Amino acid sequence: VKLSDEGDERTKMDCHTVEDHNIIERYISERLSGPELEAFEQHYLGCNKCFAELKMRHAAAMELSSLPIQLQPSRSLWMALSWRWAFASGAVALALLVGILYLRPHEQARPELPQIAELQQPSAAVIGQLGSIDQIPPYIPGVIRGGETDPAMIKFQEGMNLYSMQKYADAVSPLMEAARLAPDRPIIPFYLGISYLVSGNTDGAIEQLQRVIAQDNPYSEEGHFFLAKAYLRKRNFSSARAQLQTVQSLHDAHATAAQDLLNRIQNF
Amino acid sequence: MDEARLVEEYRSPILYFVLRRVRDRTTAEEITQETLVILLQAVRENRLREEAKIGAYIFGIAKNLILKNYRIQARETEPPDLDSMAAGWVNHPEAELFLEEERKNVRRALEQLSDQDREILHYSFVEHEGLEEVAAKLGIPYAAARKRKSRALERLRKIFLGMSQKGRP
Repeated sequence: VKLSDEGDERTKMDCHTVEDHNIIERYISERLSGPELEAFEQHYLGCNKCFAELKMRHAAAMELSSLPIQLQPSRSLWMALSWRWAFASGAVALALLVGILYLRPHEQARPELPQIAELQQPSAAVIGQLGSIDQIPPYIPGVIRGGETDPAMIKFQEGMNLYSMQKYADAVSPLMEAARLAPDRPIIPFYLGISYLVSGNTDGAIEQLQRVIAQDNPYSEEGHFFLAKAYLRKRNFSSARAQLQTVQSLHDAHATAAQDLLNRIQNF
Repeated sequence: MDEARLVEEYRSPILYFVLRRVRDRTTAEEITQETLVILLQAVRENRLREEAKIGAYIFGIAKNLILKNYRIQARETEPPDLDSMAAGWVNHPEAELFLEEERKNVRRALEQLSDQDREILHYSFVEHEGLEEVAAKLGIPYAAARKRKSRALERLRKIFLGMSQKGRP
């Protein structure tokens, strides 16, 4: 067996490339080009995290193919039909309205608009309850063979060790350093924002969680929910409402809690 | 580097890589074992200074051993392209056996997902459709399809990891 001890370095592949280019699914469905295939195999042979993800997705591909799936009818067709029905009903309603107006010659005085309900000012205790966090997001660490070498992720792990020990205020400093070293990784501002929120620095939490939701990433929807919590603590109900409505529209795990909070703040 | 840890960590990915081409568990185990012996030798002789390059090193050894095994088995014929040896691996019985534990946990995790989540994963994993096709099928914008798939995968991963950790001794 004759080969270079250092292997082939022509095509670079890292965990981010794997995710960004949909490499795992294309590997499973045998759609990778030659150099991509070779680079990915070299990568997962040395990366515990990507190999674990590959096994999970391969298993998912197998199970999904044998699982009866209730596929919805094509939405574009359904939507087209819905619009036609909506248009037809709208036309009927308009015709009725015009008919009623013509058949009622005597002009009536406009009814007075109901008075707008007076806005309530919630007490500090209510605000405390609305802004409380029932379940702090858990952290499941990934394992990198040979230990982590990226300085940002070393700092992140340091912060997350403290986070896992519920030392949220202590976690802030290493997480801030990690965020400075790697400003493009949403996982860092997410857990930094939660650490701030739990340890009482609401302004810090808002700043970090706004970074999380600025881009689409796996943490953005939870980011919307916890950002709403931070706004509630600041009595900024309009911003909280906007975030909760976004959570609701995503039908995520927090959708029910978001609906509950929206109901409770409707008069604030 | 601790040798026992090295064997424990690299055995499974090497076996998956080899089995994907060889499709016979006994032969794949032998090639994996041989790969690990060569890898350990390289580590002992301090020829692998950077752990980051181990994946590329393993790839080279395992690939050569697979081709060597093919030459021994089918003396007269030319060995096929390494990539074409992997065709049809996704639903192969050896893959089913290798991923038995993962399949069990994924199946339970999928049961806990919503129909909407399962649907988008079905399009991606079974029908191998790209996000543009999925978005057109669902009648939603591309960005929304991307987000929906990413959320479905994240939920699957969370449940799957929870189950995998529970199952550990």
